[in-house]
Amino acid sequence: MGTRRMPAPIENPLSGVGVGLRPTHYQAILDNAPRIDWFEALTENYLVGGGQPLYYLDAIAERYPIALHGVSLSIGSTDPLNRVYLHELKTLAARCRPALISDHLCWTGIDGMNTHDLLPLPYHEETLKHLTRRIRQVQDILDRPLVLENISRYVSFSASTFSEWGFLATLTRETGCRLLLDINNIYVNAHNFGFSATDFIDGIPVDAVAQFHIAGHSVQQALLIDTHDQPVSPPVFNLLTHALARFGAQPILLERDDSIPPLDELVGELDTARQLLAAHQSNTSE
Amino acid sequence: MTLHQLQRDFQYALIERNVSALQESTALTEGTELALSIYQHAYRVRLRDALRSHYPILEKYLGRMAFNAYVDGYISRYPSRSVSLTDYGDQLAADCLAHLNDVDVNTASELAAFEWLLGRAFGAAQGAPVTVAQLSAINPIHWAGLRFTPVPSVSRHTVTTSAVTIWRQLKMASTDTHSPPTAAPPITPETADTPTHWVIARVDLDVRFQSIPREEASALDRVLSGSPFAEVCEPLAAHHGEEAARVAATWLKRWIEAGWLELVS
Repeated sequence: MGTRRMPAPIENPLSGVGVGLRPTHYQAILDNAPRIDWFEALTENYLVGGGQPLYYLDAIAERYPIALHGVSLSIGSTDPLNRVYLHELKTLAARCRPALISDHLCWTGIDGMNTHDLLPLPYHEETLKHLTRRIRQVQDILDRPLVLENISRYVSFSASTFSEWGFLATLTRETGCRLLLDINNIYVNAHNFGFSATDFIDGIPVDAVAQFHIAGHSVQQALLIDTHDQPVSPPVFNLLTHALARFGAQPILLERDDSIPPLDELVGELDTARQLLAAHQSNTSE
Repeated sequence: MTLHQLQRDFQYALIERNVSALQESTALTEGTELALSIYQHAYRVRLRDALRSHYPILEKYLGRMAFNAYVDGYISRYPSRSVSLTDYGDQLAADCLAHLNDVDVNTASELAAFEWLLGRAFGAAQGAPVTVAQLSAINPIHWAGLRFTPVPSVSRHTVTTSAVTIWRQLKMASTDTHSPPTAAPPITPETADTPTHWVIARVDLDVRFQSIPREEASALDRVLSGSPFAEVCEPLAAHHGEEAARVAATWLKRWIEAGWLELVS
């Protein structure tokens, strides 16, 4: 793919455990200052002119580190990059100074449409070249490494020539982008497509990962579905332990997008992740 | 098959609920019927949930089943072209008129338009509302040429039905947690005897609306469309004579105190 200046590695000021920032928790965060290390804000919710969304983002960003996590970059789409969106993202980043800016390794629409879903890509050379070019463009515009999340998926493509993890590893080497490793998505995909989740994790370069996601899933017939409406399952926590052993104490985020419980309940769930993180740090310091 | 063609076929399968091109291409590995149905279902649920979020009172007015049936058609007619789901559904008030059945479509349409404007105000920019003090500092000889623009959260809405009354009653009922979400609409729509004129605006973080008299609404509409202040006063002369300028100035002061206007020139 040729040589090219890579973006400088990011100093990751995030550590510990965070929660996805959701409007239903805004006031409780400000009132109770919960024991959460950082919050991840859904980028598109804050691409507005003002009002409550930006008021609360500003207030919470004054008190906690923030990461921006998008769903509409559509880095894999064969439509042109949406430069208006990128400009708005950069403006938002200047406002809330996120520690990380992430999105998903997927496409969301074509021909100007947006399905608002994180759609899968075939893992082959054409996709690799396409993504490499676009990731470099985005990194140049944002002037920082892009962090991309592995998605859950329910189909695979006959034209794929890479494993999912082999594809991600190659992409990080080519572009200098970092990975947001969603542990639940690895678990879901491993179940749905019959590969080993630990093979996936062991196939990712150690220095490529900037963050973990954990979330819950549901069962639908023979498939696991990444619904984010359940507590994190024990096997996903087990897989997180494996990931911590390989990638070190990267920041962990608990995602919940549906059936969102009160913040206190999420903090309790987060404590499990915190304990795993502490156990890993204790083991590595011995 | 190119990546571009694959994405076209995949998107077509989701939006048009037709997987034949995708399956005939053999782009997918086998055994994907259930998987594709998950994507198709998720696509529609996500857009439907966005519309439910933007039009919660319209949903109560129509009832959940009728609302879902209607928005399923809307989603087919209007695939999203927005980066954010926040912006999805902007055609719904107009679309109601042509595609809702078994309901007073004018009331439903005005209710939808009202809810959409409330939502727009929620996330609008703060703007730079002019103050009475700033206006007082302007030499009165320049007032005739003053032009204003609405602050971003402000909009005007004229209603010819009982849509706003219905909105208020269903909104109050929605705070009663014992009301089932599928409750039949409790209100019979009526055409208002005379149109009512509403201003929607956000004050600090809260979206509010208030009615204003017809004549004041007409004057405000002229201000919001960028007419200079002199042209706002002129039509008032027929009714108010020499008092026209004083009447207009009184309204202007009230609009400014409400924080509705930015000064253009």
